[in-house]
This record gives sequence, structure tokens and C-alpha cells, in this order.
Amino acid sequence: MKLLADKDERFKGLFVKVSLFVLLAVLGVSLNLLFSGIKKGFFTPKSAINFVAGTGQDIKVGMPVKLNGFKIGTVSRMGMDDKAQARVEMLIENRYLSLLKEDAVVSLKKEGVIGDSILEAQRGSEGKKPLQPGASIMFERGGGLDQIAQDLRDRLYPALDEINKLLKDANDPKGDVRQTLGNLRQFSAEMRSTRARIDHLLDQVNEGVANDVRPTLRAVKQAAEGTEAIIVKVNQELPGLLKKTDASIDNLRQTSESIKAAVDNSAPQLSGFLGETRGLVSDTRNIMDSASTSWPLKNMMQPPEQGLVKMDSHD
Amino acid sequence: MIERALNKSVPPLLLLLLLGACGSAPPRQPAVMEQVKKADQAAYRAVRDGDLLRARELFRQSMLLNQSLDNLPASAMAAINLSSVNHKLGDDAAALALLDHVLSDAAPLYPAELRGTAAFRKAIILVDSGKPVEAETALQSAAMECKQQCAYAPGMNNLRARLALDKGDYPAALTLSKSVINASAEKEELANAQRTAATAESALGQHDAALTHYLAALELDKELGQSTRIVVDLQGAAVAMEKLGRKAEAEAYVRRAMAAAEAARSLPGKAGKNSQH
Repeated sequence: MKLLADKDERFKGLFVKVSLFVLLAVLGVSLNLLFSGIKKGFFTPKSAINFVAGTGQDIKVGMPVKLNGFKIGTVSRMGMDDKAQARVEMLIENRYLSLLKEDAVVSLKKEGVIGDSILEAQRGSEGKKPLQPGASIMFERGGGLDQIAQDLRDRLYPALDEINKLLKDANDPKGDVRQTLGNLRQFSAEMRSTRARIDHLLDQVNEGVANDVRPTLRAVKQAAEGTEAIIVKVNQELPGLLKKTDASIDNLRQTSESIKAAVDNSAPQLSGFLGETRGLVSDTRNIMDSASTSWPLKNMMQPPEQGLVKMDSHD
Repeated sequence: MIERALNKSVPPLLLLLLLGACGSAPPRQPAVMEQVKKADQAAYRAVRDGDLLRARELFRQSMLLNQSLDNLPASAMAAINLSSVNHKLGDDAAALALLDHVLSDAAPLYPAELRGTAAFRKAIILVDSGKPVEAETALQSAAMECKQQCAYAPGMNNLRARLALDKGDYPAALTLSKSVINASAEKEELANAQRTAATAESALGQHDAALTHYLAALELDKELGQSTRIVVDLQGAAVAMEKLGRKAEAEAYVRRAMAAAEAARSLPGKAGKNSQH
């Protein structure tokens, strides 16, 4: 029995109309969710790829994994293994998995100078097999631009200085290389006089001891002749060798100076760029500092530290 | 519905805007003052982040700027802070030179509290360097500057207890550390006192009491996040448990100590000998 009589014509079939309306709404919402899900890649088939990092610092669940600037997956899970290292699982879309090879490497990088951290994948060698689902790959922790520039300078300058020192030493008449060559020449001259002296001794040796001593002296003479022959050969080839060495040294010096000049030329630009970045960071910090000392943020922030740095009796 | 919600939220938003308009930027200080303030803030931030090399540079900058402005208390404070950072970086010679400058009679007369702090920190560094006689002298200077109850008084007693331990005078070390435990000291010094008391009790063969002190120290060090000291506490507790015949528990504590030590060692960016402290 109906509680209310549907006298109004417009109420006829109201239940069907409302049901149809609700159904259409539910269908619309579901389709919306479905399309959003498809767009966001919720339904894209993915495969898990793992890597182990020394620490989990700067790596977060949800962090994008990119290949040549394209997002190919995300970090899905992180945990610590029995060696207290960070074990990270990434979900890579299957369509991109074949682009990665067995020796692919992921590295932690920043997008831009002050951008978010991302994992950047490198494909690996062309001849290798494609990466299989569930495989583990290598991880390396990349540095920021500042750190890389500093690292480059730190590594390059000592190496260049060492090369320059080596070259100077090689060209220095009092240096080890030149002195060794000089000593060799002197030794050659002395060997020649030694041989002459042995000849003289062989001529003058007493017949009584001749039978005992002569074979020994002959052996010494032969050795002296052999050494002299070697030294003569060295002396003949030495000027050419020295010329070649000088040419190589000059080339090396030019290369070292070119690298140094390149580093010096790029350094001011780099420092200007870093200066700009520093200015930007400083301005941002000013804004943050001002905001943090204003109501209502100041009630939520820790006051800035001041006074003495803590040091206790067991420090 | 939405209209009603908007109507309700408009007056508070307007009020907030009006209140915002009342505020204004604080007057700009002279450039050097701003630089000092920024250097100080950045230095404290660097210490908190564990970037001690940057902290050293910034405190040095702050010290020189304050000296150039003849701001004696601030320059002394920056010098003491710079010395502490140098000590954490393992450069004790530089740390002592800075403290000697604050304590020097030739230097301008710095406030007594800061001179006392400098003398106390000098004593700590000298004890660490294995120079107990010089450390005693520095402690006496610190005590002379500390005419009334000063902030570092519990620390001085702890340091005296450390010196007594080094001399093998365990009862004296125990008495001194217990005096700190019974007084209202800061957590750092309280933990240090518990650890010293535990070592003294252990040396006197009172392993039960030693274990209690080690566990109390462990709890405090965990609250303070002092990983190196946590390892010491765990090791001490393990030794005390072994002496008490609780072998299984002792082994568990040793394993915990090893895991904590290993993890602390593997942490990246460790600079200086005391960087975790």
C-alpha cells in the first residue's frame, strides 16, 4: 500500500527517473575515475626492479624514475636489508622495461639546480639482454652541481700540477731524467777507458800468472766490449729518443695547459651561476625567516638558536 | 550550500587581511649587523646539520665581524663556539689557541661567565688530550670565574670525576658523579654522570649498581640521540651483565652495541672525531 498517493502527473515513474539519474551519475563518476586512473598509469602493467643503496638518504617512496627525461616508473617500496643497507623496489612500466639492459644503472640526481631528487636510469650496453622483471640493477649516488664542480676542480688541479711538475723535472738539466742520461754518457766514456786499460794489462801480464789470469781478463774484456756496444747503440739512438720525448712532453704540456685554461674559463661562469643560485636561496631564506617570525607561523616554529654551541664534560 | 559556506568564511578572511595590514617589516639594521646575524644563524644551522667545516667558517666570520665592531661579549662567544667546532673536527691546537685568547690577560676583559666557560671547555679538551695537570689548572680557573651557581657547575664535577677515574680514585669519582645525579643538571651532564658512576661502580666490583647506572645512561643518551655514547652504554651494560652471570642478555647487548657502532660508522658525511656529538 502506498503511503502517499501520486496525484501529480509529474510524480509518475519518479523511482525509475531517480534511479536512472543516480545510475548515470554513478556511471559518470566511475568513468571519470577510470579515465583518471588510465591517465595516471594505475592500470598500466608494471614490473618490479630492485637495487641496493648504501643509505636510503634522499630516496622516497613515490619518487619518479626517469629515462632520458621521460618518467618510466616510480619507487614503490623501501626497506632495510640484513646488512643495514637500503633495499629499494621500483615499478617500471613494462613498455619501457625492454629499453633497459642487464647492466643498466640508476643514479640519484636533482632536476635542475634546486629541483626535486629523481632517479635517473641509464640504459646500459647495447649488446646486453633486456632487463627481466624482478631483476636487480646497480645504483650510484650522483652529486649536486656545486659538488660536481668542486669535485672536478679538486681532482683535476692536483693531477695537472703533478703533470707540470713531472714535465719541468724532465726538462730540468739538474732533474733526475737529464742527470741519469748525463751519467750514462759519462759511464760510456769511462767504459771505453776501462777497455783500453784491460788491453794494456793483457799485454803486460806476466807469463807466470798468465794462464790463471788471462781467461778472467778476457771475460772482463768481452763484458766491457758488450757494454760498450750497448752504450754506443744507446748513444746513437738517444738523440732521436730525446727529440721524441721532448715532442711528447711539449704535447703533454700543451694539453695540460689547455685543460687548465678550460677549467679556468668555465670557473667564472660556474661561480656566477652558483652565485645567482646562492642569491636565490638567500632570498628564499629571507622570505622563510620573515614568514616564520610572523603570526601564526611563529607559534609553530622553533625559535632560532643563539648563545653557546653545546659542549659537555664528555665531548 | 556553497554560497552559505562562502558567506561564512568571508568575514574571517577579511579580518585576517586587516590584521595583516597592521604588520610591517622590522626596521632594517646596518649591513654588518645583518651579516653577523646571518652568519650566526647559518653557523648554528650548520652545526645542527653536522656540516662542521661550514660552521667553522661561519663562526670565524662572526668572530671577526664582532671584533671589528668591538662587540666583546659576542666576539668571545663566537670564539668559544669556533673553538668547540674545532675540537669536534679534531683540531685541538686551534681550539685551545682560541680559548687561550679569551682567557688571556692581554686580551680585553670578557664577561666572567664567558671566561669561566672558556676555562671549562679548555679543561675538557686538555683531559681529552691526556693532560690532567693542565686540565686541573684550567678547572680551577673555571671555578674561580664561577662565583655563584653557574651553568657549567655540574659539568665541572663530571670532569673532576673523569680525572679521578683516570687516577684510579674510584670512590672519589663515584661521589662526584653522584653529586651531579642528585643535583638538577641538564640531561647531557646527567647522562655523563650516570656513565661515570657506572664505570666507577664496575671498577669497585659493584656490578648490580653499575648495570643500573648504565641502563639509566642508555635511556638518557637515547633521548639525546648520542650514538657513540649509546654504544659505550650498551657495552658497559653487557660487561656488567656478564659479571652478574646473565650471559644470554649480555650477548644480546653486545650484538646491539655492535650494530649501533657499525651503523654509526657507515653514516655518510662524518667529519671530525666528534661529529655525532
